[in-house]
Amino acid sequence: MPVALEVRDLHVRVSGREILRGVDLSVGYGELHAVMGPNGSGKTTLAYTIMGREGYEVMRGDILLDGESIVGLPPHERALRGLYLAFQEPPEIQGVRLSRFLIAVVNKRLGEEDLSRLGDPRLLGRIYKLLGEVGLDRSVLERELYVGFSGGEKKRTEILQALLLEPKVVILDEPDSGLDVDGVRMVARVIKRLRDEGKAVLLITHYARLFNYVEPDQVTVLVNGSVAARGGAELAKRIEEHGYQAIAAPGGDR
Amino acid sequence: MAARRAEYLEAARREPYQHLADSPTVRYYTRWSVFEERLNAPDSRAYPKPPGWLAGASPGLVVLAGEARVSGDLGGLEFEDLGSDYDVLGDIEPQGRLDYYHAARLTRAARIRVPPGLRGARLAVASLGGDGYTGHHLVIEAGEGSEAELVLVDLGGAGGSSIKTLTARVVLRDGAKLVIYSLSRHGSSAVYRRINYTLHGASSLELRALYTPGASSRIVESASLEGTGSSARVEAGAVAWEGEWGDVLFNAVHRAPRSRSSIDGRGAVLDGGGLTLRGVAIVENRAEWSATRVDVRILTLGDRARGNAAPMLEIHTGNVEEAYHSTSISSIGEEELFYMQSRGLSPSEARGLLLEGIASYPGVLERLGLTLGDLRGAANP
Repeated sequence: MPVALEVRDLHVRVSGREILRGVDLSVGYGELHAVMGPNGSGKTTLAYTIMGREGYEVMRGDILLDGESIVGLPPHERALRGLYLAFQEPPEIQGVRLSRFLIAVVNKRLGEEDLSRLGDPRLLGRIYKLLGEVGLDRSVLERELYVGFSGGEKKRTEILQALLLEPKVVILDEPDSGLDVDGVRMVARVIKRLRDEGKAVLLITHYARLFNYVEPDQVTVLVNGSVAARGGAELAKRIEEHGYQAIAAPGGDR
Repeated sequence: MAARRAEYLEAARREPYQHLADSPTVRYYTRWSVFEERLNAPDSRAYPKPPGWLAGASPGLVVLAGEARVSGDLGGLEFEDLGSDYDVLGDIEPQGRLDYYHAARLTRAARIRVPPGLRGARLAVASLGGDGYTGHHLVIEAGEGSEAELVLVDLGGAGGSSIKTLTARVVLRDGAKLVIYSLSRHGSSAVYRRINYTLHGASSLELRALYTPGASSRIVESASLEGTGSSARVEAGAVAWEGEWGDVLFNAVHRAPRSRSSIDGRGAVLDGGGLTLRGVAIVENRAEWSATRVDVRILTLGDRARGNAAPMLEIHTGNVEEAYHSTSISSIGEEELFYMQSRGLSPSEARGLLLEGIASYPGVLERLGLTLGDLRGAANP
């Protein structure tokens, strides 16, 4: 499968401290690549750096989308080139109703000048359908973005956008945390669908419970900002059974 | 008549602009100095035409300028021109200099009645400021069991020295339901606006308001919940651009059991602008098992943007169903900006969306088929 996203020898500094120390990984179209690791291992830093967050300084290495470096691009240009990050904890955006936000980001992709006008009424129908698929009520559209949302509503809304915006590469940062069993199944279903549609999926997760429902093609384990192990679904299973200590055990693909 | 006006003018000279205790704190949020500079403005002689977009707002239209004009289908609503000699202070208890000033210099007053039992009536009312001083007063009466929707458009005058005062007494009888979409665009005017709502019986008021202040705007919307089970809901947005200064105060006073009020205000201020949103709810001793919430939030977009938000609850009974207040003043943070950028929006588009979102929050722009950009163009004569 052609490589969609490639991270080469990535060294990243945040607030003067080196967090990522030479990370390499790649994810192809139609592939699910899981990045696992204990708390503080640099998983979210990796996601933010790929997306181009200010203050996440690339000291060395490169990030390539379809073979082209995106390191110098601001986040919105990365998004328009096909990157999507589902946030672990998205911020509250007061005053902006979810419906208006969704219309604006779709309009932006369509090249509309006026971001606030609903150009094609079929968009609403599509949003309603996706709301049903991720288990959200339509009333959520009239609420201010993430203001007063429960943890589950936030996750579902982030997943909804991954489906609505049709990116090339979807980065999911802990999409199952705070979800009940039904929610986890929904996330797994969406991941399968994204993969089947040919998207490249980079799944960042602390736990392996999602893999009960969807099997990763590749697994990379980060510890202290470095790649501690690589493997396939069997590596995730080993971590689930024995914890992150397992990756140091003999037989680990370090 | 002349004697009464002279008496009111004399009182206006004597009275302060505001008494210290008329706000949650004793601070002065209104730029009274702008009013002071313009008090001697001559009566307006020239008025702008009503904006074109107003024509489609409702079947009937009342325009208050130098006189009162009615057009279209009033759909059973009753209109009465009360002239320029109407004694406003019979409707509005004076609270400071500008109330007396308004009563002394009133340009036009009008009454709109929703007959008892009438349902589905819709009317647009435009209060247009002129090139000097303009003063308007409205009496709006919603009869028992009636249901109506009003669009109230309040525009400031042209030029750099215009001043406008607008007051209204709105009375809702038992079971009346009144929805008001209120749009204010004050441009370069100084505008003093004060509207009192009295809710009898199980009446309900829904006020959806968007305010864009002028050089100085003082806006006070006060609901007195007199009837058991009465309810007032306010959803408001406010945007202050450079050189604009607005002080918006909402009051809800619960005087009857099981009354309900909610005040949700969202404001945005750009560089060089100033905006205060205040929400005050008072639950009196007799208003047991009432519910009230006040939530006012301001977003500052620029280092030179000035924002104030203040909620206040005064509860005088031991039994309330709900009493909630919340406030925040924030600037657009790096995290919010990054989030919006991660969805493909440039920083300026993200700021624009936030601004448009706050302006659209009460639903007034949508009701009138406008965008914030349309409003700026249309309301700056």
